[in-house]
Amino acid sequence: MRAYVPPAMKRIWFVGAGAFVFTLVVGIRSMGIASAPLPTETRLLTHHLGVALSRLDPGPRSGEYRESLAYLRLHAAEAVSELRGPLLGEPGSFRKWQLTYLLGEFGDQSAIDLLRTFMDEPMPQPEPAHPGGHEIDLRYSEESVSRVQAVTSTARIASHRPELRDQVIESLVAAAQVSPRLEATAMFELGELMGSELESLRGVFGPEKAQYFEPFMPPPEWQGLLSRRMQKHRGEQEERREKRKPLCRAN
Amino acid sequence: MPGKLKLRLDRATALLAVVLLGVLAYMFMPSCSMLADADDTLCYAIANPKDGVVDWPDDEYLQDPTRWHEDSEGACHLFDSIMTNPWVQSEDARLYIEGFGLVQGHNWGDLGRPEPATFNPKTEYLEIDTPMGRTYNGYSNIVFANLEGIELDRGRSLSDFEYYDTFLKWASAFVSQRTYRVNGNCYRRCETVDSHRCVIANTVTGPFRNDYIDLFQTFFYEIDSIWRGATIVHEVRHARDQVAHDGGSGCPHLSACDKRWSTAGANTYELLWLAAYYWTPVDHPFITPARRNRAQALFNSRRYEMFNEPVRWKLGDLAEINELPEFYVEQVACSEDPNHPHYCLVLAN
Repeated sequence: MRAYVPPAMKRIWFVGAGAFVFTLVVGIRSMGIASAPLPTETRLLTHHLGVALSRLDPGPRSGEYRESLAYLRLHAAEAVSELRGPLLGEPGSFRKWQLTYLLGEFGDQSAIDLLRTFMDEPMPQPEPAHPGGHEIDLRYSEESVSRVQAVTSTARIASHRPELRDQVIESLVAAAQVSPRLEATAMFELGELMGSELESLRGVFGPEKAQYFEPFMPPPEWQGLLSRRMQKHRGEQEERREKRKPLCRAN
Repeated sequence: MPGKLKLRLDRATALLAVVLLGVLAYMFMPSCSMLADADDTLCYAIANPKDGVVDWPDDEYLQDPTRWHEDSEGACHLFDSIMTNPWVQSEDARLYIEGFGLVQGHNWGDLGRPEPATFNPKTEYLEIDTPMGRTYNGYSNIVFANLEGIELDRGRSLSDFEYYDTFLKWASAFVSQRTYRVNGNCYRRCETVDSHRCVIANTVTGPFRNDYIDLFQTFFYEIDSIWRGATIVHEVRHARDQVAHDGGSGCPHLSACDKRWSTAGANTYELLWLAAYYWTPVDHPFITPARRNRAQALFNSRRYEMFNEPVRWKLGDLAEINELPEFYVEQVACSEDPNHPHYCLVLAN
């Protein structure tokens, strides 16, 4: 036997169920927005990461950039941990290159480790293409550019944290040995970092990498012209610097 | 009556079930923007102005630095700021850039030529968000990377290396002299709507003044301004010189690849320019450390993946490219072996 339900009650039940579902949906959809406020430290870190990324082009010429970079260098471990997800989890993009570059600007030991992990990750395959087309796989390209940047950023860490020079060298040597894609960049950065000390690594790499230990110079018949041009360009640059000085003082 | 009631209740239950199903589908849908991607094109933006103003498909809302983490795809506007691109303040610079073939180009009227920079009321910044402005920025890297800037006479013979005594000067004149028309296009020429495999630019070659370069949406909004500069140098090599790609399978970018460095094709030219951009004085007024790093990373990455055969020349080998451009243009570009450079006639012409 069924109890009689008046039509009005049925409508209330229906409206009630609808309201419940609506509340549930709105609640779930806005969970990200309504979450608890971030602690001050986290907010500051996000802010300084954002400022450093957006002022990356003027770089040290911008006061805001210098200020944010100083903060990030003081809180390097937290900042590195913040960038770990995007660096290892996202597909290639210009933004990924930016993050990789920035890691080199403030990074510490944990940044060297993260960049090494990133360099060691297998490269994704390019998107399949139809034969004859001149399309470029942008994600693949940006991923490759970011990997190469990871090598340069590792080297950069040694310039603002000289105490990590040995770890940086170790990481660059590993990159040069393991990845053909990164080899030339890693050897170039080792040369920039070590100067004449690079010679000490000759045995580590063996004769097949000899080209990296013998700097290429234009042949002797070009050397006269080369030195004249270098002198000319140095003079021109000096002249331009002198011209810029009063402008800099005025600013 | 109970039968009627049952029927009504069933209808209500069915209706509720449908609503619930719809709600579930909505909850698990990642983003409505995925459905709108087909309309996220330049052509659509131009055809559908809002209150008479075109809403360019750039990533302007990301100017807010606290939202950096939301920009997983883009941020290509980094080098597009009005502060760092001198043409914004100088009508002469703008005219000089137009002289690279843009003035003869088609479609630029719709692509922002009247107002290459626009004011964004949300951020209260003037932004270079139009295809025209983004193209000027690409050319700015070619013009202002060399210290003469717009003072450089682009009309002299390309073999006058006493005047074009850095590769960057030579490249600026080369870009000016070896192409005629540069067109803008609103198409996004990719494999599919969501694909990231896209054509950035395309050149139709011609021995006289009948060559032209087409630039697509990817050129304006999906690559940064340094890559845009390198792309222009690349495309110009296809134009009047009529040098096509000869690579193919066995290289990640397939038909966009060249067989080897010494064929001195568009990829070789692009890399020479990137190397020259990198080897500029550290206190260069236009080339900041970030730009120099970007050029270095592009050079090293594209050196590895744009040729079928491994490239012997490395960034360090090109260190004097802005001192002895004639040596690098005529000999280095045509040899795989640093110990045996040989004269390259095609480049001397």
